[in-house]
Formats: sequence, structure tokens, C-alpha cells
Amino acid sequence: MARADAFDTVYAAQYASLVRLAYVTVGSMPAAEDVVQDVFVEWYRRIDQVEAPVAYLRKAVVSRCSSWVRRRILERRHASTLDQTPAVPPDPGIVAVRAAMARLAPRYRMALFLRYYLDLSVAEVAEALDCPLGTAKSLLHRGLAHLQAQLEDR
Amino acid sequence: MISEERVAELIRTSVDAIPVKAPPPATLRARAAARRRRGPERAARMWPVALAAAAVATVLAATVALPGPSTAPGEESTTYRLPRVLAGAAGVTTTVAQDPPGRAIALFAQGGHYIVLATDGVTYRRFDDQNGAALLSPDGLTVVLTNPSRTTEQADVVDLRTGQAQRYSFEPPLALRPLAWSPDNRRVAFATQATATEKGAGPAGVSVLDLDTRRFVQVADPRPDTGNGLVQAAFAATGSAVLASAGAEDGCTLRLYQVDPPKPAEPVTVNGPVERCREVVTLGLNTLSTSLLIAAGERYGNIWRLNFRGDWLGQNGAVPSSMPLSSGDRLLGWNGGDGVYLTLGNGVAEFSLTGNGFDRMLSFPTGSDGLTDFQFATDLVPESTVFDVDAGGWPWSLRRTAAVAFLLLVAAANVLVLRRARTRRAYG
Repeated sequence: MARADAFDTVYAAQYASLVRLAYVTVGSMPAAEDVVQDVFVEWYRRIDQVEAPVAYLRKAVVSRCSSWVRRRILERRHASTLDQTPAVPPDPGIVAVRAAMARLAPRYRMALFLRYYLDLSVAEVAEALDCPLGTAKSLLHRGLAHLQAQLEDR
Repeated sequence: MISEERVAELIRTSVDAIPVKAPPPATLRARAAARRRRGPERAARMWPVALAAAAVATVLAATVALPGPSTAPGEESTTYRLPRVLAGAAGVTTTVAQDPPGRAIALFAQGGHYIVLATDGVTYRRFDDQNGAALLSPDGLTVVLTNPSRTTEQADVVDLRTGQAQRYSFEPPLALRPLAWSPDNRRVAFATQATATEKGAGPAGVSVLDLDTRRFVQVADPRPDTGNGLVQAAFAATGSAVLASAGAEDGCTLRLYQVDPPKPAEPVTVNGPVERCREVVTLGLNTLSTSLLIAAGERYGNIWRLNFRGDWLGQNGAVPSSMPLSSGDRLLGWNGGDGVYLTLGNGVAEFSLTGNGFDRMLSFPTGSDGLTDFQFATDLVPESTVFDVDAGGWPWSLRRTAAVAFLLLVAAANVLVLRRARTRRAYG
């Protein structure tokens, strides 16, 4: 039961933010839910072996989202499909931020999400993205500049 | 400029607005449990891997067990076989260097290359060198390669068991044409010219290379006024003396040169192997008996009659009578008894010297006009049998290449299958 309790606790605390992270990256709610649920399922199977579950889950979601995006790029070369997006509140500010984020490459979106939504340090962002600290800094700097420029133009 | 804090706030607001409905955690735990139970099913999905492993094992086994005689590099056949019909260049699959044939029973030139036939009677290998001259040793293990059309300071001797050439150097530079191997496979006699002439015609000396000591000794100087004939030579049975003719020379004078130890030439006059003999064009000594000499003579490479002489070393017994030949026929060697091997038209025959006619041994392939300079490993042929043999198995290098190519194909196919399976699972 201890395993189930530990799972439920982490699940309740992290599921929504991880789905949002996945959604920001992949741009599709069903795909984001699939990715995150799959990651939780895998984590539960080896829950005794994972010491830092939150970091593990975050890293796994980033990794799977990156794979998903790569596959998606390949698929889009052959087929054109519209993403199923969640109901968007009719707030023009939110629409503008989403539009600006959508214009960024997925990796920039992930970096900005981790830094500004989850309030992670730059080092934690680098760990989650599995990249050097300098790369994470660069992603954040450029992503932020791009976003600022986009929102300025609005 | 919008501040970083403002951007962060906008991001948070924007992302918080994304509605997320979490399924009950028990659902995911149940999925994890189900996945654990499906372990055996997942193992069953490993069939592509198992298939690949089986394919690898099959290919490896097939590589070793493909039909046909063994053609592992340098491996010898334990019996000596001759094909009833020579495959010629059509049977060549690779080179001596790539896949050494081991002991060879014959050598010939075709299509600008020298080709050896292994003792299994089906394995043909090509030498890369073109426009040269080659001579197969009596035991079939070695081939000496030279280029008579240019002067050089070295001669290559190829070991057919390894495919490796050993280089023998000498001075000064000479144009070399190999003439004869000693019966013990230790020495090679060459016609030598300081300046190469067309097809080696004209005056030439005779030198002997000792493979054991690596000494290269000139035993006979070029004789002037010998026309455009070709110098010929044959070793005595002991391998310590060379009998040589000097080219086109009235009376067909033969001279005996001691090689070990060197002695001044002893002329042996042959009173005309054929009427009005001007040039000894083929010369052979019976390597089993020290007493019998073959000297076939005529000019310009045309042999009309084989003549046998036995008086030069005190021949006892009857000397075989002359044997008429057709133009283009060549002496290949003795059969170890009372017969000789000769090229006869478009094949090779064994002639009895006791008047019992001849047996055709093998035929050259149809349309093989370009097949020249056929040679036998004369020690092996008397022990060989003639077979109707099929084409040889794949050479070792081709088997390896085919196996690797097949394995790569299998691996690629498995990667494709696994990726497609994963994609299908990922998208339900």
C-alpha cells in the first residue's frame, strides 16, 4: 500500500503540471495526456528504484515529448492534421501568449515552461532537458527575448 | 520592453488556463499492473530478435557448409583432380592474393591474366599482374612471375598457400623470362637480357635463382649470332645442372651448365632433332631418369617432331623413336613413366612413348582461342584423376561478403519491423 500511497501523492501533485508541460511542447492535449500517463505507469512499475520521482517524471516527460515532436515532424511531411486543442478561454492576453509560445521551437517552449511556470532554477532546467548549463541558459535567454519581441509587437 | 517578471506571469496565466482532467490514479496503477502481467506477451513480441539470431546462425552455418569443395584460403585438396573440360577464365571468381588456392595442378594464360587451377580441379584463381610471364613449380605450390618486356632488379615468387609474393632481388637489372624449375622446386632458370627484346627473342644468357640461398647466378652468357630464336633450358634430375640451348643455332647445340658448384659449360651436341635443325624450341629432361633427353626442334616456334636423345649421359636401353606433332603443340612434361604430356590442338593429351597412342586428358573450353601457355604441376599430374566436375564453390571472400551483406539486410529488416511495431503501439 505504501507504494500506492506514494504514487497517489506524487500523481496528485504533479500530473496537471506535467500534462501542461507536455501540452506546451507537443501542442496536442490527447498526446500530452498519453505521454504523461505512460510516464506515470512506467514510474509505478519501478517506483522502488526511483529516488527522486519528480525529477524523474519531469525528465521522462521531456524526453518522450521530444521523441513525439520528432515523430510528428516526420508525420506532418506526409499528412496534415489539426491538433485537438483544449477549450481556450476567450482572454486575448492568453491567446497572444499562446500564439507567441507556439511560434517558438518545442525545446524553447519546454525551457520557458520549466523556468517560469515550474519556477525551476537554471541548473534544474538543464537537468530536466538533459543538456549543459550553458545550453539551458542560451535556450532561456533566446526564448525569453523571442517571446518579449512577439508580445511587444502585439 | 516587457519585463521578465511580466512574461513569467503571462506564461503562468496562459498555462494555468489549460484545463487538465486527471484520471483516477488507480486507473494508472491498474495499467502498470496489467503491463507487468503482459511480460510474457512482450517476450513473445521479441520474435524479430529471435528471428534475427536464427538468421545469423543459419548464415554462419551456410557460410561454412555451402555446397562445393572447400575453398578456405590456402586449403589443399587431398586428392589431385583435373576437370575433363577446363573452365578457363569463366571459372575465375577471385584473385590468388584474396583467396589463395593452395596447391595448384595447372596454370595458363587467358584474357591477359595468368590463372591457376587448384588440385581440387574446380577452384580457379587469377593473378593480378598482366603482360608478364609465369611458371608453375613441379609441386604446384609456387609460381614465379616476371615481366620479360622490361628490365628489373627483382623477381616475384608467389606461395599459392598464402597468396603472398616473396621478392628476390639481384643486380644489375635484367629482363627475365622463366624457363624451368628444378625438379626439387628449389631453383628457377631464367633467360636473361640486359635490354628487353620483343617477346624475349634473340641472344640471352641463362641465370639461376636459388630460393633457399636467394643467390642469383648467371650460368651462361648470351651467345652472339644466334638469330631471333628463344633460349630454352631444362634442369637435370638432380637440379644441380642446367641444359640450355642458345636460340637459333645451326646443329641445335645444347650446352650443359653446372649450377652447384658452377663449372664451365659442357657443350652437348644434338645432331638435329629434326632435319636441318636450326633452333631448339622445346626442351625437356626426364626428371625421374637421368638418362633421357627430349629435344624438339624447328624454327619460329613450330614443332613438327619430338626427338629423344639418350647418349649425352650414357643412355642405356632403347631411345624412343621420334614422334610427329602438329604445329602449335607443346611439350608439358613427363608422366613419370613411359609417356609425356602434350598440348594437342584444343586440349591436353598423354602420349605413350612405347607406341600405345595417346589419351586425351582434358579439353580447353569452347572458344578459348585466347588460352595460352598451359602448364602442369608435373609432379602431381601422374597422381591425378580426371573428373566431370561442376563449377567450384564460392570462394571464401565471397562467402564472407555475402554473409555480411545478408546479415545487414536482416538487421535492417528487423529495425524496420521493430520501429513500425513501436509506432503502431505509440498511436494505438
